[in-house]
Amino acid sequence: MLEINNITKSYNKKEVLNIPSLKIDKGELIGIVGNNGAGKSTLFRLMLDLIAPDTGEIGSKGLLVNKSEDWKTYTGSYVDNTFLLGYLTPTEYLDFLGSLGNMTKEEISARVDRFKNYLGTDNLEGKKYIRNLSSGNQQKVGIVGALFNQPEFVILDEPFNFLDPTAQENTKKLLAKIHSDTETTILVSSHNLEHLLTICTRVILLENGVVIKDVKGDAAVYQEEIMSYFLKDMEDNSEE
Amino acid sequence: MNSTLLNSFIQLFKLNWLATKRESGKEIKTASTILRGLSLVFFFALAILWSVIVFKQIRAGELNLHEGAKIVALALGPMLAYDFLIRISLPSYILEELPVLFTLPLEKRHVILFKLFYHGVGPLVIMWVVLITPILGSLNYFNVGILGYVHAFLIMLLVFTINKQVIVLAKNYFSKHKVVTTTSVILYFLVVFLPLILYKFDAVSQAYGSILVPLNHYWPTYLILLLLLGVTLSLTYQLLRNFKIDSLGDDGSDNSFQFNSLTKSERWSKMGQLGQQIRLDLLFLLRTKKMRALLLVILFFTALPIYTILSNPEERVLSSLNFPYVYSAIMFYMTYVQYESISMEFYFTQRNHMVTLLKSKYIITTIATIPLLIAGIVCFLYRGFDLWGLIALYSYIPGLISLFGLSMYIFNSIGINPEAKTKVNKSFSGIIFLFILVAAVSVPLINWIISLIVGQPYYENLTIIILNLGVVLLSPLWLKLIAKSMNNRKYKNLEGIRNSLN
Repeated sequence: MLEINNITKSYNKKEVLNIPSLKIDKGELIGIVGNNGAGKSTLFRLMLDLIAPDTGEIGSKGLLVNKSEDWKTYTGSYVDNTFLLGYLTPTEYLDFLGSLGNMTKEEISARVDRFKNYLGTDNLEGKKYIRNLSSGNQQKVGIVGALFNQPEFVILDEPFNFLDPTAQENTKKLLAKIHSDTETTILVSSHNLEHLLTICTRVILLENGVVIKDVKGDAAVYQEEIMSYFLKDMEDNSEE
Repeated sequence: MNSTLLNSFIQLFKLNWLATKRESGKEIKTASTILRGLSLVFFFALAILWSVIVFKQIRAGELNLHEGAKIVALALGPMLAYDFLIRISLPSYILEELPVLFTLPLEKRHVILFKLFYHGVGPLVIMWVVLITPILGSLNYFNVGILGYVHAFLIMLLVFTINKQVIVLAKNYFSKHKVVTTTSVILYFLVVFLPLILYKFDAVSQAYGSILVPLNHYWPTYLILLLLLGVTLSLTYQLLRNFKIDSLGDDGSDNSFQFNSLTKSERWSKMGQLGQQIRLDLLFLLRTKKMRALLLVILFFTALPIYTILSNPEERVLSSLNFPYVYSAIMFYMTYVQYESISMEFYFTQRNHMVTLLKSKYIITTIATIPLLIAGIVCFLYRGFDLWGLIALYSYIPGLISLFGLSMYIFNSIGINPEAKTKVNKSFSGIIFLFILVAAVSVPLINWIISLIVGQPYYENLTIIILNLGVVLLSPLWLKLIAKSMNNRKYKNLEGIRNSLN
């Protein structure tokens, strides 16, 4: 699905990302974890061709993301609230996304209904613009926007941020369901290990722009491989 | 991708229409729209009257075509320069929304073409074209009859569109390609502005080489202008094509201008609260790229009085130097106001500290514009001219202009996207226009009224100096009043920020 080769990116002569090789297969639900400044968002921005790599290339279905635009037709993404169109209501925003996917009004309406419980009736039926919603509700609109056109590949940067505990749980379930029902490839970054480690089929640990661990398995394996890393990190910091 | 160019245009047009319709900061927008409308009607009526007079005089043989062209240069030169300088301080929206649009299933090419189309002309361009068309049309009439008005409209539309494209390019290229951009802008100035300035000052008024004479040879003019437009548009196309999200933002990662000596110096703390505030403001000015650029613009403004005085020393300072003196201070304030909302210091400061904040900005603006006065005095020593007129004009900066400028903070219900740091909410342009119109129109108006009442230039200058000195002396009072009004509008303004940011 996605192939990364020799990607490096530096800011002010400081290397923030260096990934010699990384392959993402169709149907994987991958969690990207790491401390602040690990390079998670930079990696996502490179995948979405929002920034240019210093070296290397990223291929989506065999085509380079900075050369071809075909990836846009099967990739849904939500990076942060600046990627929303704040002057639209949530319904208008979803209508717009549906129209870009050449959906009819009936199809759009049916698709909106599917996310009704997740988004909440207030968000869908209210007249509030996205910019006037709370951060949590904006986050939900962004996540639904990324999933709306049933893309084959989904990129979500910190989707659990700003969400209340119920919404976090719902987001986790939503992603797990979409993954199991449709074999969508999903790439999620988060600091919330509890949620991430229970739904992912693979977890990648980034630190200072470098992949430290790339683990496939279940919650028990992640607990041992990933959680232990952060626990050790915390212990080291407390000793200092 | 399935979407056709037309479909993409329709979708994007709908979005932009909604974005404009739903801008926040309505009250400022309404006030500026009304003022803009009124001034446009007034100046349009004036332009028509002027063109009728020129037309009649040429027909009666009292004025030849060359002199007529000089009148057009008199109007066109300042318009082009004013347009160019306004755009330096106005935010450029062409990069706005590109990150989100580039990740949606829309072809990049369609998005870029739409951006070029949508941002190509704009209300400011239309305003200039409408104002200049009657006078150039009247001149053209004597060459090709009624068709001359159509040519005047089309040619001026092309000229001002190119002017806009050049500044859009310069603003967006400047951070990365400093040498190329600076050279291009200087060349552009030399080609477009210099002949107009020279024409205005009679140096080449009879020469065939002036820009206005070729304007009457229509087809070659169209060809050259279309070529220029093509070059600027294709460069902008490339700029947007290569846009990356990390090119947004101000200094961001650029730490080369830290001015650490300012932070370490002890003398500011000795000056008390005001000193500390001035230090903070100076750091803000020097560490922010756009503000540093503004300081350069002030230097450019300084060159204008030198040139004007040296080329025409007998001309009245009050009328010929209005533009550089008044506008440099206006630019300073409007850029200051633009950034204030991001610092949020106005909202989290103690009430009694608000006056110090305003005072600091007042002092810095007055000091930053002193090069204008020095430049004038140097010219006076060299050539000798109306020194009192110059001082009278400068007195507007700490006087009425500062009163207008700082009053703009009362309506600080504007927002800046904190993610992008430098992007200004669209409602902000409303406040800028309001300020420009009030300040730029009122200064010549006051001068005119005083000259009508007083009559003699000496007393006229003296009256203006006394008037502005009064404003300066009363500054503790009006600064307090502004601070009080700001506090009264605090919640309204905060709602404005919430509405524009969230």
